[in-house]
Amino acid sequence: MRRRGWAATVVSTRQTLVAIGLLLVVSAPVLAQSEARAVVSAAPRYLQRGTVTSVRLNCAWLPSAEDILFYSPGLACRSLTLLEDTDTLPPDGREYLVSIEVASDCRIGQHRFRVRDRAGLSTLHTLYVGPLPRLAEQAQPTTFEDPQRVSLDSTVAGYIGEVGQIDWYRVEARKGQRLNVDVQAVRMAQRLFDAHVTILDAKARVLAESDDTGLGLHDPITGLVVPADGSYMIAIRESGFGNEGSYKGPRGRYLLHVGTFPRPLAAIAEGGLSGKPVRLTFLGDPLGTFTQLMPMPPGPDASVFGTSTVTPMVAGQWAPTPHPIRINSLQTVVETEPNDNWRTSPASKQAAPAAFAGVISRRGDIDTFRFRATKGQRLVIQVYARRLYSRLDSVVEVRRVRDGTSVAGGDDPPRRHRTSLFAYNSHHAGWFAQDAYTEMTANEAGDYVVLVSDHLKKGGVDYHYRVEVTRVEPKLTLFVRRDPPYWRGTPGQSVSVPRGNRYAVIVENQRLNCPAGPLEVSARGLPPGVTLEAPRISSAKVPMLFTATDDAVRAASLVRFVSSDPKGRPLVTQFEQTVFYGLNPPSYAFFGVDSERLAVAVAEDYPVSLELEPIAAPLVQEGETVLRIRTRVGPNQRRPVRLSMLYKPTGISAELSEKVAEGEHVVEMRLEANRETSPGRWPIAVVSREATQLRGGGVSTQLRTLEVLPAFLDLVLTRAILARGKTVPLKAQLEQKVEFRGKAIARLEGLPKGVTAKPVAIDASDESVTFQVTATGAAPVGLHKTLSCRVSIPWQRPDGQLAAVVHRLGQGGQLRILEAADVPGQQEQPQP
Amino acid sequence: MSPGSITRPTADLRGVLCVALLLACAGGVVAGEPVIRVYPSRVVLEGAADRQRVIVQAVDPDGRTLDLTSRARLVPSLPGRVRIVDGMLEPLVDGTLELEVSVDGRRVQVPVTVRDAAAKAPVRFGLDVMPVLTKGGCNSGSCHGASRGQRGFRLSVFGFDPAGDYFRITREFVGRRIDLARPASSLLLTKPLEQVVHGGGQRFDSDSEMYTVLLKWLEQGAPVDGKDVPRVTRLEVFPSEVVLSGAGAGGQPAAGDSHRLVVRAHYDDGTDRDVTGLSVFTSTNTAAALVSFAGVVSGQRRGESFVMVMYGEHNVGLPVIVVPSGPAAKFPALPVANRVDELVHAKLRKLRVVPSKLCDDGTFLRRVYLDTIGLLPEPSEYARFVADQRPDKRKRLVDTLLGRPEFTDLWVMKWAELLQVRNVKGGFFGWLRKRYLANVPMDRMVRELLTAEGGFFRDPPAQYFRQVGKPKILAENVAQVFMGTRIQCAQCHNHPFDRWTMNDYYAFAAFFAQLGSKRNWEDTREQIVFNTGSGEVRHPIDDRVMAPRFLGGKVPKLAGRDRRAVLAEWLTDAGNPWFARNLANIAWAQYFGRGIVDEVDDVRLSNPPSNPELLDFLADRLVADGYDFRKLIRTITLSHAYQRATEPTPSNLRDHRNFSRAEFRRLRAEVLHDCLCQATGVPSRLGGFPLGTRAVQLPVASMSSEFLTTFGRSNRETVCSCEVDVQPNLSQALHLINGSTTWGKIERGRVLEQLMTRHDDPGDVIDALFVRCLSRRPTKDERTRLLAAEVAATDRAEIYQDLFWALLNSKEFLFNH
Repeated sequence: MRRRGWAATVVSTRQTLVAIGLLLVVSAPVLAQSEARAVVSAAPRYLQRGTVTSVRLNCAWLPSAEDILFYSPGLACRSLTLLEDTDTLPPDGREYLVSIEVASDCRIGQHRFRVRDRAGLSTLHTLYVGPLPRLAEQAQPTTFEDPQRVSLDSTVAGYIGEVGQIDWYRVEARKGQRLNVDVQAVRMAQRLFDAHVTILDAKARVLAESDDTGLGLHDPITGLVVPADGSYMIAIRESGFGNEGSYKGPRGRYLLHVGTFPRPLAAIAEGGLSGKPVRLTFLGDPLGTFTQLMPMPPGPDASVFGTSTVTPMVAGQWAPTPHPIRINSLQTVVETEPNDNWRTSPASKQAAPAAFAGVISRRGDIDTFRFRATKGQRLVIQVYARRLYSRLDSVVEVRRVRDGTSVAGGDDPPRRHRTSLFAYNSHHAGWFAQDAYTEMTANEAGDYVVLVSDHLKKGGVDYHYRVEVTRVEPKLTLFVRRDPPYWRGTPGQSVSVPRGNRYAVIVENQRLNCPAGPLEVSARGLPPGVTLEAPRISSAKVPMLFTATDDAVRAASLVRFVSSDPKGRPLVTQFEQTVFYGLNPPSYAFFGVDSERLAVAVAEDYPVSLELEPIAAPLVQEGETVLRIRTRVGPNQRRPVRLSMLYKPTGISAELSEKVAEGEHVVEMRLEANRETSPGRWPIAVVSREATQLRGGGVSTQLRTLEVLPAFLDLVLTRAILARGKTVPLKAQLEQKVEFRGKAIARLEGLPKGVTAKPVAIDASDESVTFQVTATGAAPVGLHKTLSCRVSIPWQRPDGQLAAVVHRLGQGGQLRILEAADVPGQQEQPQP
Repeated sequence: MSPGSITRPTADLRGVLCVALLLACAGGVVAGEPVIRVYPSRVVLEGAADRQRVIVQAVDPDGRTLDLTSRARLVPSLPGRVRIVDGMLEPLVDGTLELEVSVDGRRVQVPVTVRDAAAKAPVRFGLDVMPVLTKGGCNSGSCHGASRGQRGFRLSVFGFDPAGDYFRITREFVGRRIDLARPASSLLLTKPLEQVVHGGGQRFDSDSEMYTVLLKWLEQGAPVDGKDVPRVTRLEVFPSEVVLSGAGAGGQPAAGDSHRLVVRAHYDDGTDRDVTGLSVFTSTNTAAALVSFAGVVSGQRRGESFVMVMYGEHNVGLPVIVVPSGPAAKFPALPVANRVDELVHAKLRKLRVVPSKLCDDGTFLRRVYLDTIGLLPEPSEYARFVADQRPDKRKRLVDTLLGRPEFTDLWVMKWAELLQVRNVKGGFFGWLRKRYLANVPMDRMVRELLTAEGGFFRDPPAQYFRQVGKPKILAENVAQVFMGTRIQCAQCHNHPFDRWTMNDYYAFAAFFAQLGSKRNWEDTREQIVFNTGSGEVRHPIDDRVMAPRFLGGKVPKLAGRDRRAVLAEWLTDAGNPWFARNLANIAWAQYFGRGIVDEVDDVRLSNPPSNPELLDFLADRLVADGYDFRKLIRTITLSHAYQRATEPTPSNLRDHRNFSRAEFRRLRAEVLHDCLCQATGVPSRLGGFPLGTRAVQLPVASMSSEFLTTFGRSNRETVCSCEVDVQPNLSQALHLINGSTTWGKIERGRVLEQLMTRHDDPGDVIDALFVRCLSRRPTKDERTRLLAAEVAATDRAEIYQDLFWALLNSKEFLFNH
């Protein structure tokens, strides 16, 4: 709780807050990320295009930051200076002053970055780039009578700090002007603050109000054409006045964009070849619809998961927030009303694959589009609506034009098609969950028609959509699992490889329509001197090992993955990473920032290096084996080195023989497999993490293949009863499954103190084995259920060497020890 | 009263007539002869077993009814066709005839038809036996109708499951309950006769109709009903009106204090039957009137009762008025402000209750402020109103108040309770408020509400369906909130005190069977509701699919429409017998502290309106005014009935039902809270809402507020606002006396400081405090004593503080009066 207390001190008074310019201190993430190399806050987070701005970065566990890794172009770090520690910072806190230059053509919207420290990369954080000049919120509270006056076309960074607080702003506007208000809160990628905005005239009459929207998600957007010259009031508050449940307090930050800028609510893209200009129709602006021909940024990095953004500009004024659009190579047809009736809708020349776009403009509206399909063609029909910040809750149906037969239809997509993120966060659906999805196979060549409508038969200007009809294609999705608990920010989702050392991560994957067999994966864009060793993907989880050469330069880059099927054909490969914001514990988020490249950095030398010796013997079900790890720990290691397996296949447990000490040592790690362990060849590695895994530091051994085999034999121990001082035979039934040469040694284990049994040799033909068990006079009387049998079987490795495969069988074997006089048959005879 | 023992009428008509005549002459009113009525007006006897009792009633000029049956002579025009036994007509030969009823020289002809006089109809289980089990109390909840039955024998409570009862009587325990070889030895008969030990005691005699019916049925071989058995469609009770004299002095029966009732059932094959002997009679107010086992009602004390008649699964009711015995006092000629007063006076005239006088201006001002906008009149408003000499100033005041936004706040709060609005997020409260501010007619608003679809946040009225998937609960809520009737009982058995059967219940619930929902994955707090177009409700007894049927109405044509839309159209139709009456009743209750039907959500046969004509009038006005609530409230508040003083007259001392005077009503928690804030000038911080938010404006009811909880606010968890508690209790008194609310606000406020600065004269300060808190000036005595205390005080401010505190703690402040 120490960190929370610190944050609370910082925000104790509004004046202090403004004075130090710490405009984003969010207490929950501070606490959560305090274990990780993290950017806790950035202030200001809003940067105007074409300016150079000093941003204060409040960081944790980043003592030697060197650079900033931006995910998209247009931002550059000109300088980075460590500020003197202040009393308000915790021991591992640092503050940096970063000078950031924003290009005048920088994309408007959220920009992701990580700080690169000498030790590695920080968690992800974002800055927002907009077109309008930034104003600070005034320190003293505002009221309707005493509002903060702001000029039109500006952006105010505001803060609601108290339950029931309303921030009042006043603007002067002239008749006929647009007065648009766009408030960013949830979209700022921060903790949940559900903003509500009202526009009033000077007599307090409500002219417009907004809470949730399509384009703004949970953020309010509204606007009007100014009815008369005069003053207009803008009121911003938490939508429930901060009364709505425990996870969502009253406090929160927002950006208020207010002005005469265009603020359409929907964008429909026509045409749509990547890299070529696209005609866009913008709907919903107070002054009406307008169209623009806009160039699309080339290159794969301009979009994430196939979605990019566009920002409209009218008469030199840019909208403050962008519209998401889909950019790909599909030719797009925009709807022409009337098209409600599919029988009479115009025939289309489009052959699948194709895309269609439009808007469900009124209640009950249905849009229909025709396309041609060839016989046997397998197609995916999916709607992009909520993903494009539309209000449409889409329903899609496909009919065959010839006879009107309905061939496919869908509402909300099946879970497996929403996103692979569901694999580990079933409650996070984002805006994927309501976009309709269906698949079809054309059983005859000809015209088909797609019908799009709203699930509740609603409609409106911001019920826009894009339907993509594409071939069913194999696709491999990769993601790095976040370290649990999932609501704790972002650590572990980047890779920092120490020079001359190795770093391993688990990459999980989801295969859609991929051919059977192992898939090859490689990386593009690794930092110089870094190589990737990626085993072929044949299970849901695989380790990937990054190795940096001794002379690699400290640098960072964003890496794409490519993959190919067993025949070497390239697959559509998508790396997915989403950082969740506005978290509603335990596992639901209101907003996510997506990336499709993995950040990889070369870090400074690390004082620990690890080598995993070849694994001497395979592991069998209900057996054990030993890993030998050569460790070298330098004198500068502050914290104890903890070794663990990077991941453990199901049913395997590991135990380290001793603690890792400074200097060079060999430590052993004993692996045990239970009956549930799947046989196979598992690429494994042993890693060293710092005190907590969340910080993301650490090194790895090389990858070795652990072979897991089925048990060679089964063994059942019979029960035995013996008196103190006696010896009895204890028999074990054997069921041999694998032939072996030579003699195996069976040894009884778990015998109570004072009881002994000599090991017995067995060969491949034995059906049972008998131990002679002897109890001394000190053996504890009673029933003992701790017996088991260790069978060590000789096994020839592929290299010809002999190794021992160890089984641990007959768990729970029972032995009853009696007092000498109690043994049946030895009791005294009754006197006649 | 044991079966068959009938209180014999002892009325002396001549005496009554003489008295009536004398009074009429004395009052200068033209005296009228008593009107003679004979019930039923037409008799049809079908089958040898059919019977029909005829009753004769006189209505004297005062409106009092007298049962003359025992004194009337019944003479058939063709004596061979019918037989008359103890006032009961029995068929002999087919044909028509006239029955001449003569009493005291007055004659009335009743046409009689006899059909199938020789046909002997068998006793049917559902038609004849089941009513006996109900009449005998066998299937009541405390006897064999209990969910586990009694001593191993279970019947469906009030007979909702005839097939099940038939099985349990005849098949469940073969050879025990009935003995077809020796029918009279069946336990079914020996138990209620108490010939064998019976925990329920003797239920009937061996010469009663009930015994006869059961015995005949057993003698027939206890047959199961075929499909041709007619079903009861309607029940009627005669006479249509009963006004009795109460017991005389010392509780002695006075002349004309009892009246025999006759019950007739109508069947779907067009026949009817006198079922008086098999009907169950109950009185809702035994202090006013008692009713015997056989259906003879007798007056007790001045007041009203409602006699409920249950036959099988059908119920019908009859209002009974009991007036003081002796000559009717003169009812004064009262001025009326509008039709409301005419109707209220008409009822009071019947009851011989003289209403209180009108209240003074200050009282009216305070009352109408509290009721209409939930605030006290400001001192300046008081001064202006009292000084206003215009005759229509009350009307002007009402118009002003109805235009104020606080009027909206009060009614939005009321509806937020009924609709159980509990979240700020989602804007259900805001939606209601906007509708009210825009004066959207209630019918449209309810249609919008009942057909709402979409997410709770983006389509706020959809929140009403948060119980989606529970059609029974939705049906109960809609019935209770919009029709004012509770149908919950009928979920498990036919309603014992109302007309609702399980069929009604499940057919009504079927309107909500096709409501579906899904989670909004973008915001998991939000649920999206929509019409799925499929899904049914099944009857729990026989698992049949129930077609949607309006409560007490028809099976509508749905034609693929959203069932809720069909329901909403029916509900808000001008011809709907429930909707407008219910809304009018809710509005009335807000201004009188009790509804014309009270409780407002408990409309049932056994709880009839105290003034049905008034309720009908208000409902008609509401419909005619396009469901404009403001107009209705204007009519109500401008009536003299609303403007009466609380001081009783000798005759209305006990009347709390007929609006003859104003009642004392403790201010509800939210209003009281706001008035305290207003009087002291210190607003409270309520939850997270901006300072100055009044308690009536709260969109949520969950935030902690000791004051509101102590004074019984609604937590909006039931559709009946049942949690609203306006009963005073000790903790409330202690909270006001010792709690921080009153004293803290007095100390923090600047009211006293301002008054002392403004007024030099202590009397003016005292006056101002009285007006501020109680909307009146102090009486002469109060003023004198307070001035004396002020002179004697060392600290003047302290005396004012004490006075302010005392005023805020006074009953006069806490109550609307």
